[in-house]
Amino acid sequence: MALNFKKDIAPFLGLIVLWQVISMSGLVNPMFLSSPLETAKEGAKLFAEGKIFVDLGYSFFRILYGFLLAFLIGVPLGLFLGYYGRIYGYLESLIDFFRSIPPILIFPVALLIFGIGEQSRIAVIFFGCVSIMILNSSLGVIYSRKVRINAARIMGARWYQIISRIVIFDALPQIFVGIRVSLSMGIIIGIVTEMLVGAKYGLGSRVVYAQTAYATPELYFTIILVGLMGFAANRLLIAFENRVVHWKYAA
Amino acid sequence: MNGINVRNVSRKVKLPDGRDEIIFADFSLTVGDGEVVGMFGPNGCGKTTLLNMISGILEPDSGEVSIFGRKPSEKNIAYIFQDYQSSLFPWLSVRDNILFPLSIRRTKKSEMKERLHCLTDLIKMPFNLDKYPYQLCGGQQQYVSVMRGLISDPAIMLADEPFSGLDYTNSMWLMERMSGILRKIKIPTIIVAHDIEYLFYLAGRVCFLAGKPARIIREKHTNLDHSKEDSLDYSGLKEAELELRRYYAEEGAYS
Repeated sequence: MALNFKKDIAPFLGLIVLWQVISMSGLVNPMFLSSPLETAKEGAKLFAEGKIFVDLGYSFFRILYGFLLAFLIGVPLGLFLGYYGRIYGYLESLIDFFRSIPPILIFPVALLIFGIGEQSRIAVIFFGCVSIMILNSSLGVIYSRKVRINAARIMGARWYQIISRIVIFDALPQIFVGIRVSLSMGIIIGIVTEMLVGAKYGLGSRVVYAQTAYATPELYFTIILVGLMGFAANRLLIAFENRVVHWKYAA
Repeated sequence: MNGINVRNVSRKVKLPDGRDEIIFADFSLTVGDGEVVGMFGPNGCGKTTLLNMISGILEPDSGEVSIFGRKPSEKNIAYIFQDYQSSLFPWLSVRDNILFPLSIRRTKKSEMKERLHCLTDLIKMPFNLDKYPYQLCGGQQQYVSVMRGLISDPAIMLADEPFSGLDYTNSMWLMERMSGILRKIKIPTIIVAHDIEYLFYLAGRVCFLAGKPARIIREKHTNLDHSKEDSLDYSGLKEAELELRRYYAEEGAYS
């Protein structure tokens, strides 16, 4: 994953410079906007104390569990529904309906079922990610080239060979779209659920704590950390996708 | 025994407005062993449907299709699709694309290597097999489809407008090679093309398809002998073309 200075680093440096200028100008109350230097100092302190690692770990694993569960269930289910287009046709409205429900609304239901614990947060992340995975995997199969399936059939391929050696590969670019969108969604939901009741650890709960304690540098540092987490996850996925789906831009 | 035998076949298709249209009614065609037949006709006259029925992708509503007396599904068929980009597997290298028909039959690696060696010995491969299809030009990609069809030692070859997605240079390049392949591999072959010149260059017999339901309105023997390098005979090409234009204009086949 190579970083390009002009595209990936320079805009961030520019933003930091602008931020520093605004802080130094005295236009904004430091209570509302800490300076980049103060924020960086607070970040260094949090890392030195090691507290932030605990929050980072909790957030990371919650999101990962929910996301992986959605991947393991959503992708095969989506492939199945896409392959049997008629069943997808029957369920499309239902999938759209569930996709239209803001996942965070499910949190109270998850609390009722699983109680105040990790499972309820993971369940909401799963709920938010799984419909995106199902939808994109199904569409990947539905829009795959039928000529390839026909070519394989003429060559004598059986149904399971058509699925495992043609359909999955043809749907891969769209499956990756689903993975990337649902990972972003997973991060959003994961952090928001931590900001609600019952989370002792996690970046979301640290943001709430920093806000109530008027610890503005800590608040901004945690927000930046969440942003960097999402940014890094997305970039890693893109690099992985470009390696796996090497034919995507060639077709 | 005829290589390809299409006997009294009927087939209707559903139009977008829900109506049924009869594409073939009591249609028959035979292709002898080693014979190369060209199919020429206006768009939508049923050329691709015919190839799909012969290959077994489509079942006729009535009638029978047989390949050397057997059902299409019981024979290896080399099918060259018009859209080479959609028919090749871009995630596989050229080598793996060509070997795909063997790999799905769980052929031993040593045997696959041997078969590929024999094929490349017989038919020259003017590019690196480790490349991916999208790294080749159009004509070469279509050539890979031909190779992939031939690797499994097919009983027949069906080519559905193999040149139509290519520019002039690529078409000429591929046509030269197809001609060479047909000279070496003598299997019953049907080639569908929009350009009558290509068919006169490659086929020993050209059938002109028209009407709804489709029927063969003319047949023309080109005197082309694939065993001889320079047996090309374009005599009759012009008159056939003129005759056809007249016929299609009268029948409204282009409408």
